[in-house]
This record gives sequence, structure tokens and C-alpha cells, in this order.
Amino acid sequence: MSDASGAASVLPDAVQNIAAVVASALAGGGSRSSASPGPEAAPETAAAVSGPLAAAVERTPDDPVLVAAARVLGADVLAPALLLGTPPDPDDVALATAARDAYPPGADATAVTAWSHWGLDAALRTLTGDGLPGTAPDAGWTADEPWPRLAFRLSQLASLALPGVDSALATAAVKRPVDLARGFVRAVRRRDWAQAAGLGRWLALVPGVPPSLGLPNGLAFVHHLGGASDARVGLHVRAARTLLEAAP
Amino acid sequence: MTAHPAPGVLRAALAWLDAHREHFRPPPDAADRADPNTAVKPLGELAQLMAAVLRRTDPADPAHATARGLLDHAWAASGDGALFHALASAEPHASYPLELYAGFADAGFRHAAFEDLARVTTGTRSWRAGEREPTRALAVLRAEHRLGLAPDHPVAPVTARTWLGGLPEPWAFEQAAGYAATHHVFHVTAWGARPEALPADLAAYLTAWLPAWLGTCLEERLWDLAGELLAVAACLPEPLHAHAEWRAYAAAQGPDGRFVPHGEAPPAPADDAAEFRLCCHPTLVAAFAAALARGGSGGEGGDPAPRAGATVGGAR
Repeated sequence: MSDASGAASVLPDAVQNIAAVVASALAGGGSRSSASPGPEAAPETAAAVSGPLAAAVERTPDDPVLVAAARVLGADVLAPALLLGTPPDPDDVALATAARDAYPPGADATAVTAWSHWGLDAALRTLTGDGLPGTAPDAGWTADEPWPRLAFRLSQLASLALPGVDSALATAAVKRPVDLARGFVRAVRRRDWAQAAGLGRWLALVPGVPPSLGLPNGLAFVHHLGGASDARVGLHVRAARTLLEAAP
Repeated sequence: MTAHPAPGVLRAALAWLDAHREHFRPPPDAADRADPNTAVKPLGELAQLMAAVLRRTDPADPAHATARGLLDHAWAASGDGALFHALASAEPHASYPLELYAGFADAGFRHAAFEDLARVTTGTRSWRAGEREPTRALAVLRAEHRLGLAPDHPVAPVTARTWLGGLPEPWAFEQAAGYAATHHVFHVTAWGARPEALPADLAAYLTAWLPAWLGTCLEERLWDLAGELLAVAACLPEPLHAHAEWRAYAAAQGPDGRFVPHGEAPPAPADDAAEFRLCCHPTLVAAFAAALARGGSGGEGGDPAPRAGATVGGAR
């Protein structure tokens, strides 16, 4: 049992490590004009921004744990290139490709699994221009879900909240900005920082969010209270800020 | 679609309130008591909320007659208003006797000597300079307005200073802010009688965020605050129907009609004074919210046209 539980913590740790590196890259590459105090200012991760992800997390490029962690993060392993417009590191493209090819979704995959795989593939196509678009998973559920459930499920797919990667999910998010904003309010009240951060990222991308939400302050709030214990919170908040700074 | 739960909630809540009406009666020495919150506040809430129930129910509806009976009982329990004169005489510069009395005034009951005294005290510089929390200041000003006092003092500068008036970030909602927000709406709309008095920006704000607040309060089983938020949903110029939320709320009503303020729904009837103190506010709120919601629910009874400013019944 001890072996199993030890192995079980390796993947989540790797996901956290990669997410921290990606968040740091987004922080370093975005506009430096805004003061951003908080836990993200850790200098030791900021130093590891350049270079491939594998080196930053001290793993070999073909390490199966690294590939699995990249599959968990989906398109977010390429988020710096997608959000900042910088050329992707070729090793990171290779890693994303390996993750995509190693873990194709099965016929009975959940919407989250299927869409995150599709998002990884779409991100690779966007950056490399290679390959043909795969068949997009079903998104019909986005029209009928009550707002709390819609918000929760989209928060799990925040890696698809990317400029330049169109999807039926992004189209659905554009149609229901107030419902996603309600989800953000609910998530903060429940202190579900991962959900709040993921929704904050969608809300930074879509038009029609009521200004009374106070999204920039809300993101900072979520980052302060939830960022220290979950690097994916920091990643989504960083991505959201980048999207807000790029917005017209 | 199943029937809207509001009529059933209203009937059962009124039955519990009616069965416990004697508990609302203030102690004989209420005017000398140190704590008006326990001695007389429930009586004022009974009057205020039953006045709203009366306004929103059809005279042919048994709920209307029950609310009428509870109002008459409350007024009689106050010694036909003498209680408020005694309270104001003991603490002439306190605002709570006026706030309590205003609920009765809404139902058409008046006590001339109390109002004479209130005219004097509210006309002082001291009264205007009284240090009050913003939502409380709004409550006091609206109470004055209902008695025809302070007509030259508009509500807008007061509403601008409350939590809700600041159009706050909705994710900063928590319980104390929630109660401030619901009472802001109740005071501005005269307890649901004048939804059109809510400014358009506030109505849009509440339409956007109320569902999120209500949903989390129901998930956290905060029945008292959830009831107030359901009442707010029915106070909007375009009421939110909240059918699913009403179902979740109604499931928390005890078998005897009472609501606990939060937590597990009561499994069995209870009749002691401690249980009354615990349940009287959430159960009054349930009756109030249900009476307001019936109008927009398509449920039984329909919506009698609100008679803004009309006195209903009155002292007999």
C-alpha cells in the first residue's frame, strides 16, 4: 500500500511543479507595469522561466510522470506561447505531442477528459500549423446545464480559455457570461479557489461580464487566498491577468 | 412543472405563528426592560411582516384572515399602542420604538400620543445627528416617512451609504452584508409594496447576483437569510421566480410549519419558549417571502394588485 500511495503523490506533485513554472513564465512574460504583490513573486521559480519545462522541473524529457502531468495540464503546458505570443520551446512542443498521443480519450471519456485532450491537440495545431482538426467532443450540455453545474464543469476546462483557440466551449462561455460570473461568486463563497480561478480565466476572455463583479480585485483575492496551496490557481490567475491586459 | 411551494409554505408558517401567538406578547414590564431585542422586537416584526402578508393575499384566502388575526392580536398585545408610548417615554432619543411602531402604522394602526412625542424627538438636531449604521439609518428614515415625518429628507443619500448602495463586489457577500442588503431592499420597496422604488442600477445588480447568494445560502442551509433573499427576489421590479430554490427552501420547513434559522430541518414539532425565540424570525420571514412570491409564481390565488400606501383594515 505504501508503494501505491507514494506513487499516487508523484503525479500531483509533478502537475503542481509544472503549473508553477508555467505560471511563473506567464508572470514574467506579461506586462510588468502592474504591481503584483503576493505569493507568485517567489524568485526561485521566476529564475526557471526560460528553457524547456522538463529541465525546469528537473525531469528527463521522456519521463512518463512528466508526460502524464503534461496530459493533466493539457493545453496549459503551452500557455506561455499561446497567451504571450512567444515561440514555443521545441522540447515543450515535443512534450505536449507525447502527452496528446500517449493518452487518447476512450469512447466513454468524460467531457472534461475529452475536451482537455481536444484542447491540447488544438493548441499544438495553433502553434505548429501541423495536423488536421480532430472531431470536437460534444458540447450540447453547455446549453442546458443550470449555472452552478455549467460553471463547475467549465472551470475544470479553463485550459481552453485561450485566445486563438476557438471551440464550442468558448462559444458556450460567450453565451453565458453572467452564469459563469455567478459561478465565480459561488466558488469564492465556498472557498473553492481552483474553481474560482478557472472561472476567472473564462471571465477574462468573454465579453458581457457585469463590471460590478470586480474581476481584477476578485482574481487578486483568489490568488492571495488560494494560490499558495495550489499552483494551478496561480496559473489560471496569471492567464486571466494576461487576457485582461490584452483586452481592448 | 410541479406546483409552486410558496402557498404551502405560507399556510404552514402562518399556522405555526398563529399557534404560538401568545409568545409574541411582551412581558408586563417590557418598557423597563434592558433588552428590547427579546422583549418587544418580535412583536414589531410580527406586525411589519403580517402587514405585508395582508397586502399580498386575497381577502378570500384563509391566509389573509390569519394574518389579520395576528395583526389584531399584536396590536392588542401592545395595549393598542400604549407600549410604544411607554418605550419612547423611557428612551425618548432611541429610534427603536419608532421602528417598531412603523410596522403597525403600515397596517393602519395609530397611537396619537406616541406620534405627538415622535414629532418632537425626531425634530431635534440630536435625532438628525444620531450615529447609526447606514442600513439602520435607512430603516429609521423610512419609519419617519411612513408617519409623515422628515418629508424633506430624501432616502438617496442614505441608501448610497449602505453596503448594497455601494454596489459591492458580489463575491464579498457574507452573512452580515447579506442581512444589510436584504433590509436595504425591504426599506426602499416598503416591504415589497413598491418594487418600482428600486433604482434601475440596483435592480440590475440584484438580478445578476441574487441567484448566486441565494444558491450558496441554500447550500449552507442558512434558512433565515435564504428566506430573506427569496423575499428580495420577489421585491424586484421583474421578480425572479426561483422555482428550484423555493423547492429547496420549502424542504427545510418543519412538520409544524416552523423554520430553524440554519442547519438541519426540525424533525418534530416543539412548543417551548426557547424554540419559539429561535424560530420566530425565520418563520415570520418564510410567511413574508411566501406571500410575496405567490404573486409572481403563477401559484394559487394570483396577485392582488398591490395597494401602495393604502391602509388595510386598521384599528377597530
